[in-house]
Amino acid sequence: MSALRLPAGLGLVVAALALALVPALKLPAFYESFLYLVFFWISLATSWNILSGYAGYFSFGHAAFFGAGVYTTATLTATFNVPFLSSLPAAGLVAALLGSVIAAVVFRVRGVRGELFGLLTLAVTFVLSTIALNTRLDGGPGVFLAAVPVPALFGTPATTLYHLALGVAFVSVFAALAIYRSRWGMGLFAIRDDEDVAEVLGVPTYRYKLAAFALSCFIAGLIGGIHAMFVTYVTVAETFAVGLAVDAIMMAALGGTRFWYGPALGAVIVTTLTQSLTGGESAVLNRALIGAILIAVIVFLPNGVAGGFRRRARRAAGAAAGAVTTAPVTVKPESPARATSAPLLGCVEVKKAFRGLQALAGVTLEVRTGEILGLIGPNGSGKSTLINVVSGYYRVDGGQIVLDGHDIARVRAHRIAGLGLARTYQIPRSFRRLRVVDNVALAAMFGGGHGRAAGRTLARSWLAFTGLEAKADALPDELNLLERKFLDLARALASEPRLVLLDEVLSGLTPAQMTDALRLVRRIRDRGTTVVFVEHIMRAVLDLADRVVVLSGGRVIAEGPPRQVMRDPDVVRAYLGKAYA
Amino acid sequence: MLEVDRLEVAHGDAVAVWDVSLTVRPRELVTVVGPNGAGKTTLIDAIAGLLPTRSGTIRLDGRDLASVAPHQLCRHGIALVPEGRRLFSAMTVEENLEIGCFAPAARQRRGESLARVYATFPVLRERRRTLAGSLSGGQQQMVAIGRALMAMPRLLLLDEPSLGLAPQIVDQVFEVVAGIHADGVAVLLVEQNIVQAFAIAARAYVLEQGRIVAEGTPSELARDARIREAYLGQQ
Amino acid sequence: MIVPGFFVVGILLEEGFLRFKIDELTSLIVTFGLTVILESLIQWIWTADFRRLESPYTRVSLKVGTLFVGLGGLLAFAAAVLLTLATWAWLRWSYLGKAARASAQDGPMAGAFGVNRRRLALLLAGLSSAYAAVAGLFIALNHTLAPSQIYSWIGVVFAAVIIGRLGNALGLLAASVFIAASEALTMAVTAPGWAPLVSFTLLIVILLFRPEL
Repeated sequence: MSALRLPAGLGLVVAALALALVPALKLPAFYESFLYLVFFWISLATSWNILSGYAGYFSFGHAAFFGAGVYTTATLTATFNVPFLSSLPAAGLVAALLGSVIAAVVFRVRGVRGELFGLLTLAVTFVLSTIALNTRLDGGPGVFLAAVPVPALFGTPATTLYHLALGVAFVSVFAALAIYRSRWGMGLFAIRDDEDVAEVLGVPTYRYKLAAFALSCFIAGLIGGIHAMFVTYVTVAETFAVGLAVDAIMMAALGGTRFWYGPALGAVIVTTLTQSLTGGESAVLNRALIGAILIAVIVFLPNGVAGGFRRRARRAAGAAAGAVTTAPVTVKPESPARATSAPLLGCVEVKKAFRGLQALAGVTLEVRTGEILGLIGPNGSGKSTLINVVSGYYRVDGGQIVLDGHDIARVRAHRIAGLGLARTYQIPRSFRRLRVVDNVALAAMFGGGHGRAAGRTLARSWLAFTGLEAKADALPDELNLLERKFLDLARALASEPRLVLLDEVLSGLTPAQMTDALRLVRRIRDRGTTVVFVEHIMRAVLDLADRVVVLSGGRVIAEGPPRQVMRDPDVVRAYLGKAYA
Repeated sequence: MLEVDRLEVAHGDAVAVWDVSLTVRPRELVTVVGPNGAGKTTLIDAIAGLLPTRSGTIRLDGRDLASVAPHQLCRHGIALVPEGRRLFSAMTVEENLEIGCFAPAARQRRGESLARVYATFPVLRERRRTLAGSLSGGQQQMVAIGRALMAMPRLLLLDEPSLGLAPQIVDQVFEVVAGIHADGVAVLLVEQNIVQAFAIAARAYVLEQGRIVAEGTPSELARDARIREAYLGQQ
Repeated sequence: MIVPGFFVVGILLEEGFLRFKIDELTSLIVTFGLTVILESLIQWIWTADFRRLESPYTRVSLKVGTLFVGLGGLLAFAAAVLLTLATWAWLRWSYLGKAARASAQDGPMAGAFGVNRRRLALLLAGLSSAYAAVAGLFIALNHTLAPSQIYSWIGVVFAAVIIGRLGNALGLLAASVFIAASEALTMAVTAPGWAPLVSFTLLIVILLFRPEL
């Protein structure tokens, strides 16, 4: 895989240089304007994809930021006589600033995702267009820019615009590529798959989304400024056209939103088709054809054309077979933990209620370093709520939670991850679009603070520890249940936590698989990680736990060595009723 | 009447119920008890048609239910009172009850069914125009049972009716269930609360980790070491 | 004739979505694709010129007190109110309407009591499409048409979706009236151009502070 890295970036540079030389060929003007359009759409589609494709927040407001760039240049050059070239950075910055302000507010609201975000961004377009239409920015008749001088850098003014557009297209695709391969990009993809889990693993979701949106708007603003000069007459209706955003989205979807080159590919395909189908009656119908092609691609190739290529390549390579082994493997040796009496985690009178139901009514317990603690209790006793509260998914209503000396009761989930806590889920929540190794590498990078290369290496060693090294390059959907649970475990361990919370890790496993899982949990503790596990299967609890805490009705009713606790009359009563106590 | 034979139900590839066989005879009240996570809800959801089964059969009066579409099951006389009640909380009590008899045959008898439900649960008649979501836990449980009764079932499936309710309310609920059984409806009751379940059941099965580990009458099973083991582990 | 036609179109579309298991965001893209196709077809058949539906209704004005109200607009308003009330009544009192509400809340449970959810989904899709057709009819009656105008209505459509999430038909009517009134008021008080700003800012605020709506 790494062999392709350098060539892709290099290939881009070479292609850009080659395209830069096209005007020197003195071809008919048609070709330059055609290529300009291609660069235009590449810029728009790719910049849209940086937030919307990578992170899954579909924005319908791209036209707003494009328009911001257009009008910044129009106003600066026409009204304030600022030189065209100087106006361009301003165009980009204004758009970026606008986007950042909106994102700063919107991304704080947890509920605004998916189609709500789309609606909101669309509303922004209308607001901006109204403002432009009613103030001196445009006022109605549009802005005439024919009189603004465009420097002739490599020949004619038209060529300047050509090169500027080429520059922006290059920057956008290069940025898409760079982000795709960076920590940032991995975080964005994780956000698209499962934002809450990403947050818990340590991905700074707010920051990443904000930066992606700002960059996306910056590029849109830049190309807007250039386009203003290309058309020389700017109107609100043409600029803040929703159709523009929709076209960019369609191109990105056609090419494949998951890939850095997808939107560019889609832009090239659509623009070429549009141009080549011109002529006579079919000029109008060609749009219909493009719409039909788009629908066909989306339905049969959900990952776009690029996704289709990838699928073909994958099948050619063949699926890597490999069973899960639990052979002992060497991992970085850690000092094996001795169960000390120093508490690693302490909960004092923790309370949590949901709409009138008191899930936790004052839970006080402690987890000692190096132990395996079993958390049990009848249905509805609050076990899962406690795990969710400790890991930061829910906020407590009252009480204290102290991890290794840090008060984490009101700390955000991704910071708790950084403090040495990890958890697994009852139903494994892997990032379905990331490969197995990247799932784990993500945790190493964001929870453990490692770089990308180190993260990948560590990921492989953790996969080896859990016996999954043969499946490192597979997608999570190709794994069976035990393998996915082990993936969840590897991911939890990759951030090298001091404490790991296991939520019903044995549920759904066959007895043989259960033995494997129990063995792995013991090895985890022997490596130096403290384990708290929630479980219903009593035989496993008795087998595995050093100590047991019993919850009932949101409170702790007993704790101590497993066999002793299970004979405690209060516990028997909680489970079986008075008759058996 | 109900014959479950070697049933296997899975969530994705997590097998929750293995090789489970049980029967419910007409007019019988049978209970399935077991600890948390044993697969009780999975079992009853599969019988009610909410979950697909991997292998094994479910027969009602000899007819294989696998061939029946989920939304047709209530026409064959099965009604479900699900875990957590799952009422339509934005609709009124009476509307919830009305959905219970949505199927054409039951809808024709709507008036008399409604009267009977209100007779069994007088407090619901007072509250029939209240939103179901604003009722107390016990009252919600009554609406859920009433809704199932509106479908005029011959077999009533109850999933952990005592969950989340105060002890006195639990007593009331079980009284009602016993009363319904006395009227001639067969009942399959899945419960974590052994005491209450054994008090009204004719026969019982014990489910642990997806398998039946014991069966018999409540008196046979009372104080049986296997139950203790299932809930509390090996002593 | 048109309305039942669109009812069928809605059903076909939903059937397609169900059969190909298309998720929400993708269905958005698919319908945009359809919009593009339709726009071209319209342009091909009717050309890009602006057209006006001429009918006796459009020229009549009624005198209500001291105000002159265009008959076309009045008819549109009356139709909207009637449809909303009819829908509300249907949802509230008819068995199918109750089934629809129950299904929206807890689909599998509604199914457990006999509601055929697939058929219900198709019916609702058809109805939704038919209603859109009615709206389109009145737009044609009251405004000039051109293929390029399609996108200018997207804002209204999206606003409808946001308000529509309110779920309660009467609340929906109230909200729509409120937004339209705020627009009209803005137009009267300041320059007409500012009207969309008010309505969209309202929508943004609603989305931000009550996203669960």
